[in-house]
Amino acid sequence: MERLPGVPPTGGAPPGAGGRLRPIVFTGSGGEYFRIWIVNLFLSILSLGVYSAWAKVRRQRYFHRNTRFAGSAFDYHARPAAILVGRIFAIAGLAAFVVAVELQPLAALGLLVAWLLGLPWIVHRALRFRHANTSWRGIRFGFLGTVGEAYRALMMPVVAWMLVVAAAVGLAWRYGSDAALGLVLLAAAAGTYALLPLLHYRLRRYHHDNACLGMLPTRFSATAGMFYGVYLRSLALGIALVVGFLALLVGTMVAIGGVSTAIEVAATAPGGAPAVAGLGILAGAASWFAWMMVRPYFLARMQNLVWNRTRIGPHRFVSRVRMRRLWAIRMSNFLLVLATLGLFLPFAKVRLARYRLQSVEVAVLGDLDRIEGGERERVSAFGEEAADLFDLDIGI
Amino acid sequence: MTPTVFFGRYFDGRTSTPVPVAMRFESDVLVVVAPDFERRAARKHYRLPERTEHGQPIIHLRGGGQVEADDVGALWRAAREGGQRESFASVMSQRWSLALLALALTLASLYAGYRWVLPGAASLVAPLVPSAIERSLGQEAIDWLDDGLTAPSRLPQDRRDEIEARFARMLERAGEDAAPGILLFRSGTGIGANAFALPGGRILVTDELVEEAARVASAAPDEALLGVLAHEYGHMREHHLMRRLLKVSALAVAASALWGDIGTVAAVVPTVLGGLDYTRELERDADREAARILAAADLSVEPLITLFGMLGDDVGAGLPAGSDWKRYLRTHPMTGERIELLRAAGR
Repeated sequence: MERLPGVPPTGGAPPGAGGRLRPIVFTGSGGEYFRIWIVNLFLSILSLGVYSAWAKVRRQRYFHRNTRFAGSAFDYHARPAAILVGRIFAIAGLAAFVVAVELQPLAALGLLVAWLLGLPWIVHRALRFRHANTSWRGIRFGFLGTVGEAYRALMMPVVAWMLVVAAAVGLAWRYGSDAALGLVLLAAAAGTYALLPLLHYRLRRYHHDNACLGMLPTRFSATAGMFYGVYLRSLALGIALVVGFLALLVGTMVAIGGVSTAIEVAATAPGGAPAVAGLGILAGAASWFAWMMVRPYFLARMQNLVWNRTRIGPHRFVSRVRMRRLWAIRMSNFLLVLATLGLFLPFAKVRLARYRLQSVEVAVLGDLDRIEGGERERVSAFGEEAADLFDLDIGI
Repeated sequence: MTPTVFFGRYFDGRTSTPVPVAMRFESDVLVVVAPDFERRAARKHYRLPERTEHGQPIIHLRGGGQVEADDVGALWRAAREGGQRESFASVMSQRWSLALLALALTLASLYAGYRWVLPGAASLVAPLVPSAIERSLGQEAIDWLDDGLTAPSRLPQDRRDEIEARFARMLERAGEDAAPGILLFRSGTGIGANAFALPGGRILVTDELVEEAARVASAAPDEALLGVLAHEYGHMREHHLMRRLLKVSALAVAASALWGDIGTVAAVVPTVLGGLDYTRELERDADREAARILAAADLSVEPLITLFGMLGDDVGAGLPAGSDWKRYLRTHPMTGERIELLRAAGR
């Protein structure tokens, strides 16, 4: 048995029952994907967006067929026509919302609530579509979670969040003063932050407890507490970074201009408009810096947590994303995409996919050549496209 | 000639067991030969993979089976012998020269869409927007302004009637068929000297602007004010606000589709800059219309030009020559440019 450093014991099975580790390999190339991407973009523009459905299938096929495990690649099966139809319905929904906002703000509020209440259904449909159209060695993945389970899993945090926000808005309405408004906004933000890990956990559990590859079901053994742990550590890191950044700045100022200048700057800050603007820019810079640092930490921790706690049949996933490496990739991607006005984007996607996928291995127990296929199903693409359009991150 | 044979691994879609197979095309029929079976698929019953340098080529068979081919080059050699053609997108993606051509064409079509297609579509659609929607938008704007930014006008009723009469006479002489009651007088407590066209066919003008304009010396009475009103009338008649609304919305959708992946900022910045560019273009249109109306009514543009100067519409005038980067952040064209345009159009 191999020892797996850094892997927490998985619930249910003893950590020693690891099996043979087999890597996930990503073979895609940035240059090749760039060529596919630019041709997709060109044809999508030329066809006024119609080709985008075919473009999506080409892109997904490229990434799936370049992701290999145990000598075979994954594959993507969605039909472009189905994606196009889903896309049209999703865009029609968005257009209805925009028009409603323009004409009757109250109707828009109703639609927003309806959208929030419809979210679990959309998540359910999107997961079904995605899994039903993904395969490995000709065996389709599947998603067995029901709509009812989606509502049971997601509605409680969503409704609680809506109540928190509604209460905050109500209070702000009642006590119109600036200070009260600030406090209320703070409370709403705190409420959101307190509920987000729970929502995230329940979404992941709904997903990873209900998927399957043919007849092999997946199981998820993380707890809500673990999700709160990742969120809290990220928050603490973020706060520490902002404080550290500001301290470093003040320190530099003192070192350069002497104590008197620093005090002078601090003293004139509340009065002078430029000083206040400067402080605003500083706070913005500090937050941005913290965000750029914390996000890779969060993503690395989260990927490791989710995949190390997922098994498929007897096989276990082992994810070892390192925060520093992920940070370097994301940071350089960001700068290069910015410097090339977006032309680096396809290279960036390939780099990130390569690192994230190659950080995952599967501890195989038993025979991978004897996986049985399940039933095939046809699912409409509306949920998937609606989730896409609204940037709903359902995750892999 | 014997057909090219290529190899791969067959999966039946029911188990994950690989079966080594040899394949060939007999005209357009794909023949899959395994140690203990042979499967033939007619043209419509299989789907060939794109030819890419990287990635597993997979042939889908109707009914669920699939074949992972060992070598995409051999696969396509055999397929071409069987009369198969690669898709246009696939051919374009295989060569750098064609991909870079696609890049150039993408940039060209983005520019053309932004420069001609979008404005053209917006000016076609804007007059079709039901006037009820425009009116309700205009009423919303008035309510919003009246909630703290403007107050009821302090101008005497005679003065307002006088301005309305002069405005109507000017439009009549310019051959414009305008409904009465277009002008909306307000005291600009929060917005100062200002005038703007509202959606739904009204023009709001503040007392402060009326007073400021009265200080401009002119041959005919209220010539400067009439110039401003003619400019706003140009906006109103051409549905500029609705056009801008449509253009900016379309721009926002396009930008988020193109750059939304990178981040919100990447999608918002082009929208804002593009929106401002459109605004300047519409201002130029309205200036041209003002010059035309004034000329038709035998009025001069010079008082209007003086008024622009007085209202401080000269941000950037003190900048050294060549540093006109601020041009792109302005809602209105540079003053010098405007003056030239007004004088030229009025001739």
